[in-house]
Amino acid sequence: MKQYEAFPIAADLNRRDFLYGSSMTALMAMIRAQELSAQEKPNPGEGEAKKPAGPPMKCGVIGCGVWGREIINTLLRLPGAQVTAVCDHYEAFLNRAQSLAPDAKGHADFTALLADKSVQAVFIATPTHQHRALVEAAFKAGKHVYCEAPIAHTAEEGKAIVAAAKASPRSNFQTGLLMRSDPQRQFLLPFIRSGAAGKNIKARAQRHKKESWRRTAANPEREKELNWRLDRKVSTGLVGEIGGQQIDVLSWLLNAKPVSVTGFGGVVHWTDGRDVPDSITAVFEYPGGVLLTYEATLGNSFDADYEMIYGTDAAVMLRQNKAWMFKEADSPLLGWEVYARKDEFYKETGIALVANATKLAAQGDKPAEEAPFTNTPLSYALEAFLYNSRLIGGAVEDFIANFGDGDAAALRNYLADFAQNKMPAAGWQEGYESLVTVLKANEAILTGKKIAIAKELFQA
Amino acid sequence: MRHLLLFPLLLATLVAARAETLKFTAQPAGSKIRVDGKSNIHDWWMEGALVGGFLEVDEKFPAKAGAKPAPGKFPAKVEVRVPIRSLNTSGKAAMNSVMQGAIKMEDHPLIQFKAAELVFKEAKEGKLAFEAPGKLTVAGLTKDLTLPITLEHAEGGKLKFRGEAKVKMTDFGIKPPSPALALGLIKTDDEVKITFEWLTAPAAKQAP
Repeated sequence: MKQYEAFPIAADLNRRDFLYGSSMTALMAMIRAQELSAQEKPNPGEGEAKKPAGPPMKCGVIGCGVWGREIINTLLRLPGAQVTAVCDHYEAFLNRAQSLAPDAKGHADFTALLADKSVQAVFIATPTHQHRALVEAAFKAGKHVYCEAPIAHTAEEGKAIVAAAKASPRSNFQTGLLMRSDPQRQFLLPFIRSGAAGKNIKARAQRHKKESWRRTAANPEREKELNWRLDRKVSTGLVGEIGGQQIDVLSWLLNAKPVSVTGFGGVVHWTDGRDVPDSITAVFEYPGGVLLTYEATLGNSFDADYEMIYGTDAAVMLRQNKAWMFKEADSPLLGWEVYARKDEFYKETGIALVANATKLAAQGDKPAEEAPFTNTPLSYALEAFLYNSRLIGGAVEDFIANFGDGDAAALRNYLADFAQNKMPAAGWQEGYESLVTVLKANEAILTGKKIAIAKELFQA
Repeated sequence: MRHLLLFPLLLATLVAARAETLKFTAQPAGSKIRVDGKSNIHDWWMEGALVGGFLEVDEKFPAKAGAKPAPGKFPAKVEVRVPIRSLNTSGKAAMNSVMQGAIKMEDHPLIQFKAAELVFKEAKEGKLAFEAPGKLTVAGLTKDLTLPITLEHAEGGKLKFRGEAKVKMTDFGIKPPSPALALGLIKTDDEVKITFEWLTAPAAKQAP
């Protein structure tokens, strides 16, 4: 995987870096918006996962529905992974998973998969309300654990998962907040936080996709089980099952947690008896009065999904692996944007936001035409998980080889220090904070009320 | 017959001599190692906190605080081990991979230093300065290296060693990494500086 900081040359983004140019003010006045993407040119072969040192990690996937099979497919493309076991109690899903990974052993019972000592890491992609028992059992079996987001369907279940993760320092834990490992978002983090777009005023995200969420099955029992997302008792709704990713990335970029949320929602299109809203809006309030508006619907696909942050000097739009900046007419000249690629957006022009743009501009290099990071966010997230699991597993082995296995506190301290060497990824803290955020939002949507979110609630 | 009578006495003497060997083992906290290098772009480093191994000395070694030894050699068995994968670099994951490849980690996972004696030089500011003529093994190649070190007595009878040395990567068959990045070819200098702190504590006595 390509890194911005293969040597520490691009890690020092700050406002001054973006504001050093001034001689082209007149030219820049004609430019109004530009693409923000990872602009460092990949070398041949880069941008793809590299084979890490040592044998591939033996992986087991529990839950082989649509997303579980996506995880399997992604793992199969990563050189650091070997899918050796898959598990689903529903035979048809298990068969489909095994057709993807024919060498993997199939299990109908997750305890059999966890009992397989050769499996080092497990990926939990079951319905949200089943996560807790699986995570706890996986930790107990000594596995590294990747658990899809949201980590649970209640705060209590989420706390139990956090407690299990804290009690298992020898295992790596990652939750499926994919954007935390996404190179494009990692590049944008210092850009936004440096104030390059000015003071953050508000944010917005949407996810529009026309789909029913209802799935058919051979019998009513299976259909009920399969459609857990439409069951209020266990579903966190659109805001939780889908919105958590976008809300998390915006909170991360804003470097803040919401203090309240107001929700709206209803079953507008899919009036098939469901009571989980198919169209929602949630307005999150952050410190300083900054508002994040999140909209999602299953009734319309227009403009798909994206995130926006509006600053006093520029607005920044994130779409998949690309980002653009739309500058205010009175904003300071950054300089490097002269060289950046521009894209037209109706009446606006977007300036490509690209990693290392200022350095490239300084050296007269030209920006890449396309975003260099073309893997999926899931691929980057799983690569980070595999790397970090290998890192933690290796650290435990090295520690025990040198100091024995008798001093648990010393090992815990060593691993805590070692954690700073991990690749960026969402751990239990991020997973729990995201869970609290979406649970409160879902509550607000279902009640139509404004709900305060005390900061203590984010403590697991 | 007379020789047979002396044998138990000789055996007892040997056992007594063995019992006076002092062993110190590396501690899980309180150690660190750092490698600093330069390149045509910027300085770089890699560092870690896992420094394993042990030290064996006899009772004449100034293992206790306040000892005032005369300059000279002390027989010792020193073994220091650093797992390469415990080292993190300034370039994090991507550079870790580059350095691990350069040091041939898969085939040679440890950096090791071994010495058979410690040569006391002088006492200075409460620390004892030694030289450790030994052998450094990196990437499977072993080279002689005389390591200047200082010994500081710590609480609980612990011994803390500090030192630094400059070595050339090519002496150990390591080609200085030159990863190609967007800004052009990065060329790292051959010479690196190794600094370390190694905390050891008296080993728990083995049950008979």
